[in-house]
Amino acid sequence: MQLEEVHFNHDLNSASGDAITICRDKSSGAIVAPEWQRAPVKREPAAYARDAISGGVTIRVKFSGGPSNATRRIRAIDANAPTTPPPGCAGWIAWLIQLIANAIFGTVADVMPKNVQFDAAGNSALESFTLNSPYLMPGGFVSKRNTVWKWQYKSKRHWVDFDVSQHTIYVIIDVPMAPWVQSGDPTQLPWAIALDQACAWALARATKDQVAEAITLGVNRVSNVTYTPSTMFGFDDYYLASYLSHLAGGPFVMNCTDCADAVTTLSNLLGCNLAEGQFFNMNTKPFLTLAGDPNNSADWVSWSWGYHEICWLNDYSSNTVWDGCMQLDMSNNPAVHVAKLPAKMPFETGNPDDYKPRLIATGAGSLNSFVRHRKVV
Amino acid sequence: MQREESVKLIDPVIAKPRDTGLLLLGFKAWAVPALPESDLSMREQLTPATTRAVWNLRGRPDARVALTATEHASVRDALRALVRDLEANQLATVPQGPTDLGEISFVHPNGVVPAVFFVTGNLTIAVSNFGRENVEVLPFARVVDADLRARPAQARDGGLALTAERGGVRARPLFAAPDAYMRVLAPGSDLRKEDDTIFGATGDIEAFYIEPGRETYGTRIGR
Repeated sequence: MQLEEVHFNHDLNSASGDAITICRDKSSGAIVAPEWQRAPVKREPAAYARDAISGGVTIRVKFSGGPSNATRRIRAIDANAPTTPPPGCAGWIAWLIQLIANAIFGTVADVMPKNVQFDAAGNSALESFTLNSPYLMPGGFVSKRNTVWKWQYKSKRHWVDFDVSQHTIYVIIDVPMAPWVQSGDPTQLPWAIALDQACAWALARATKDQVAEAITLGVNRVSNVTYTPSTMFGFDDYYLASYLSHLAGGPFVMNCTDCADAVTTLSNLLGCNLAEGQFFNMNTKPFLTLAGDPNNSADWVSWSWGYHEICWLNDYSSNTVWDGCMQLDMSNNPAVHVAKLPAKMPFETGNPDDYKPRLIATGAGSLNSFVRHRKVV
Repeated sequence: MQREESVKLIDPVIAKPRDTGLLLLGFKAWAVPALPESDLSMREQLTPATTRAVWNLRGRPDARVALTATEHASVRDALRALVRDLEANQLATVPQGPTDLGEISFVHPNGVVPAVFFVTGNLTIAVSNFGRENVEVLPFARVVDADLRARPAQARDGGLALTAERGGVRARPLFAAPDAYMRVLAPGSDLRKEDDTIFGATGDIEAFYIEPGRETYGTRIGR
């Protein structure tokens, strides 16, 4: 007996009981179920939006080589589940590390047992199985999970292994928001290559606020980046594919628009609802430059800017901002700097420690008339 | 840079009678003379009209230069797009660059990561310091501008066809070379393109099919 197909995104119109619709990259088109297929070989990733799930999550599976005109009880369990700890302190520590790693990166769920009917040729229909997963419930967190299932059927009182399958499963907080879509322009479906980066930066974060802060920090702390005032990754569209490729390459430069695009686009990919918005005309106070070292005085800089672009929760009316391009100086003593990453900061409420008074020394800092979500290219 | 500021400087250039007679079709940022003592490390097709090339300077791991080029329908369209490019610059003021660079140019001031923005033919071009170590970019920008404006010294007949069509001249390469582009020269003319057809030529048109490291092809048509 063997596994033939596994379908994760089997309902394109809903994310409440199955995976969301994603693509590999801007030119791949939507990944269509089955995401796993024996022949011809197909191995595609799948993604679940935790907060969109209501009730049970199901996959659909097809088998061959079963008993003719008979039924078998089938399930799948985590092939890498840690067994009992070996004796000794070192063995116990290794077991604990394996346990933690498996919880963060390992199999997303067990596949609950079910009776499957086989026809005369030993083939099953496409059968629906329920997943039993703590990671797809409210306690779940952002992760990219290497799911390895050991498929078993029941023989008398024992479970007998008959196949193994491996799947890349992303767990995100909610259905991706703009510019990402779930239908329509296939280039704007969530990209797996972007999920790789976003899940790495926001790994193990369980709320939208935690995700947005982790992405902001990730963008701000990229070790091979430095600041330039000119936009390098698109002003009308966002060159996300280019940004992702430069992250893995040599040193490069970017500005505030590029940072706002990265934070908004990657946070929203995981289910947040940020938007890029500008404000105009300012001379700034000293701040810690992009990827700067707070202990290096040369990295505390000030600029005369025509505009600055940051991320807003929903739109300007939230008065709540994130900025991956800098860290503010929260010290009132010019001789001492205290760096703070702007994450979920009030923009301007009259408090001297709000974002705007901490950034702007002189100038209006007047808001643009609109916020936006640049299309990803 | 505020739109009103750049418009003040660029609008008079747009309004001037145009006689450059230069169009670049299918241009790729990496199809320019090589940056001295460097290796081309990245070729990016950012949009159908925009490409970027990045060079690493040899022996200087933190020194990189990027050239980003966007193709427009005409010189005027490129000048209008330059306004938009400058709008995407955070600096309150981006000073004007050398008057002999492109149709008009702008540069980052001293003390800021070096970058130059200019229009050559129907291209908007940005040459930017791209690494941690600052590298002067103006000399390279001058080389690129001069190269793109020049009539190739040698060209083999053929390789592309110029035919009179729809009141214009259609330019088509006779073979596909992924890194090649067409340079169309019609001195004294105000050229624009619509798809692969060139309009506005008042005299002879010369077209060259140029691929770095390969023989250049050329042909001519009278008007």
